[in-house]
Amino acid sequence: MTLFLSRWYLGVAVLLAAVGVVALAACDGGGGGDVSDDLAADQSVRIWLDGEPDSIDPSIAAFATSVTVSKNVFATLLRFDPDTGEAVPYVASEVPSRENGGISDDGLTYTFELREDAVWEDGQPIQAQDFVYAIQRLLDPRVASQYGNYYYSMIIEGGADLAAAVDADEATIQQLREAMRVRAVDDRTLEVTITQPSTTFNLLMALWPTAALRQDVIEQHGDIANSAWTEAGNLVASGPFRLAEWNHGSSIVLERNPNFWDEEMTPVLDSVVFQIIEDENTALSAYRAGDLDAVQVPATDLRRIAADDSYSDELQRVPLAVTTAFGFNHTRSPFDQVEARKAFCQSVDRATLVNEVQQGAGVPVTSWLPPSLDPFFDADRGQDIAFDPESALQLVLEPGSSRAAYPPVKFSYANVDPNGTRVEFMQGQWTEHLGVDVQPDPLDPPAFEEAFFTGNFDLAFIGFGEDYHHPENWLALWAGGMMPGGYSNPEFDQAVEEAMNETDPGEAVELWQEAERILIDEDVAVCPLFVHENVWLVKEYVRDFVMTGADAHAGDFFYWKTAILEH
Amino acid sequence: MTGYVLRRLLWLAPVLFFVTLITFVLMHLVPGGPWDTNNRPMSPQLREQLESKYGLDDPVWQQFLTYSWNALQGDLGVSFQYQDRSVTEIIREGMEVSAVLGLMALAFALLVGVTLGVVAAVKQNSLIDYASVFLSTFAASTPSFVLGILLIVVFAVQLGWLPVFGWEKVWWLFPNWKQAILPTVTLGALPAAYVARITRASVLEVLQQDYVRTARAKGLHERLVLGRHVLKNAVVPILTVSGPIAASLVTGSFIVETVFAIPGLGKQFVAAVFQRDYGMIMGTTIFYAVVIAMANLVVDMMYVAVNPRIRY
Repeated sequence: MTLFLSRWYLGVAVLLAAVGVVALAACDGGGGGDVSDDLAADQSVRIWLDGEPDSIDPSIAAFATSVTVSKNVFATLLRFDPDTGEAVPYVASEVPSRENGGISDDGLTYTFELREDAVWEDGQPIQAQDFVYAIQRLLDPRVASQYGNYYYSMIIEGGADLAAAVDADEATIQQLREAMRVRAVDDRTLEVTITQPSTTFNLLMALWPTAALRQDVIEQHGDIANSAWTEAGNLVASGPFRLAEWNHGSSIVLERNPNFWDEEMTPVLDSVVFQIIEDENTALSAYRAGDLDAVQVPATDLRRIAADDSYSDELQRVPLAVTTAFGFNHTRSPFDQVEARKAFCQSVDRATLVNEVQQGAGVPVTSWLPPSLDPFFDADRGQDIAFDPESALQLVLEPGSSRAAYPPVKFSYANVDPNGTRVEFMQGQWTEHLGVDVQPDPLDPPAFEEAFFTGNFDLAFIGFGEDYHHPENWLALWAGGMMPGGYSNPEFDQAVEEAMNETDPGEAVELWQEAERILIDEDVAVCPLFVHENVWLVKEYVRDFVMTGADAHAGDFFYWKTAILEH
Repeated sequence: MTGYVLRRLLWLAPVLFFVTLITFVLMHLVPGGPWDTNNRPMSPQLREQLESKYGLDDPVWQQFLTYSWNALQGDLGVSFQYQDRSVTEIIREGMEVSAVLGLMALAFALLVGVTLGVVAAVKQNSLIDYASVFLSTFAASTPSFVLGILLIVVFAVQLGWLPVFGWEKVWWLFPNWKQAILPTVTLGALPAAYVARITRASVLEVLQQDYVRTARAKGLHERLVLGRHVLKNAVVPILTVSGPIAASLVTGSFIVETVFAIPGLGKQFVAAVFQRDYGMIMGTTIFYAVVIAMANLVVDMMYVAVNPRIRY
């Protein structure tokens, strides 16, 4: 979810599981000279992975590199529709709704009917019990799952008690696991009770942490919290691919799962090879030498490559649902005053930031919600914080909030490329337009995170990428004074609360827009700068390497569609 | 001699103790902890779960004692980043790769360095001498990431002769020879230059000795003079620098391993610090301390072997 642009080896780190707009950039087939329309004999694609996954265990996986592998290997009850971002059936035969009886009248009990033909890689049926076990494990305090605690512990009835049982004895934990209101009515029916009606629970059940897990496989290779079962040879897959090899630090090889059961998602490819290369220049060289089929364009090479005609048929660009911004510390002068926040925000020329500093990667925005979040995105949002140096200067000259009274201001950021150049640009803007001297404060990533999450900053360079395609994911984190920096406004909290409880879709849109209006236009709680863009080079002979705004890793929604053409 | 070696080995215990202690304390003092790499705010509950899972809920001195006790029994704990993988296993995997690459680079450095040095000394002030001095100055002054990228661009991208990256084991611990060439040359270039300079100076010095003049005077073939009299005596300083070079090469290079995407230990060590992966930081530091202490011991013993006048 939140990505504060700090993981040291992730260039543009993206932690998205949900969905944005579908790809601008499907390969249009035919293309260049030597590529035919026939499928090649060798159906294997080699894709760059920018680091060794921490863990592909669905209960643990939390980063793009990990999630990509996880979601291609494990099946969830629901999955995201790439066009709309809505939940569609996967292992479940239909999406629960009040109409089909899947959601109880009080809105609290969800019933999922499982497909009859869904099986694991080894032929065993995927059963409701496998999902019960997965959710119990996700909230088990011994596993210490980030996503479990973040999204699921509060919403699932009984989940909070289980998650809170740190250091409890085995018997107590077992009791709490069973007391949780997730149960298998029979092999094919799963029933989940939640703590309060929700408009987004189906989306949560489409995220990878709820994928079915095999208790026998996990226990065979270690205790509950251990991830040894995810090594190649141990892991039993339920998704379109199986894990054939995991050469730690070098490569991960996925092969088509021979027992995969969903016709639509059955891969054309025989295998996907993830080559783990930390250095983006090495990856680009490997692509040029023909050792890789798909690679991200390094930020510093974008202009050169975009201008190079020989790459024009291979370049794929897609805006991501990742907003980059700078955050204020609302508890420190001068940013306890809305005038100062607005002035700082108005004096950054986002167009130049994107075109020059970013070499064209990204789209300038003045809203926290990304443009892809249709219909919640409001194009008029944040007009008052758009680039306007004259207004900004007026604001800092006003007697009540005069810049003369400003204490020294530091701008903290995670010192990974290219954050330094971005921050220097903004520093220059503030000097030029406001006459305010801001001190850049580069910190190594963990130190930055500590500073940020403990509220020890004046200005901080941050970003956010969604987990699921819904304004709740974007706005709820600002409510209740939860966001570091001390932003708090009861009026905003109230607006979010109302929007979350609104069941009428049309009304909900208006309520969410109102909440964002308070956050951005009224309070200038944060200053949005641009949304990220994923820029990749993909060989012409790779058909349907479709990138979406929702990819964790480029194209990972559609590896099952991708094919290699004769070349 | 045996007594000396035993004494040195005994000294290893306090050295390792203080290395462990200092690393442990520094690691906890640095801002940011192992959970500050998650890119998200952490609930107190999750922090509690994680600290309980990894034993960080005890007081720091107790954690240190527990860690030391486990380490004494050969258990270096688990990686915090790579979910519960054993540190010993990660070090073993990384070390196999780094050591093989390091030994190949050492062989390259000695082969090229000694050859260049001898040729340059024998043909002193000739074009070959100047060329060799130029080459070694170039190798010594080019940072390995520049050299690595240069070699990749020329031999992998432009000529297409060699792969850009990778390290696939094909025979025992050895990789595909094509994958090994570029990283070996990149890693070995600097020590090769160093060895060349030492060799040239050493051979020049020996060439001026009286016994060399005598050997030539009695009509020995120049090849025999060089092989039997000059090289044998010139090799002493080369041997003594080889020890530290070997130790630094086999422990892995962050830069070379990163540029060529090689899963070695040098990379793990640096990454562990960036990630505040407490388990990996402690494990790799202790491991390096042992390796370097042992390498120094071996070098000191080699002094004795090549120079009988030194006694301990």
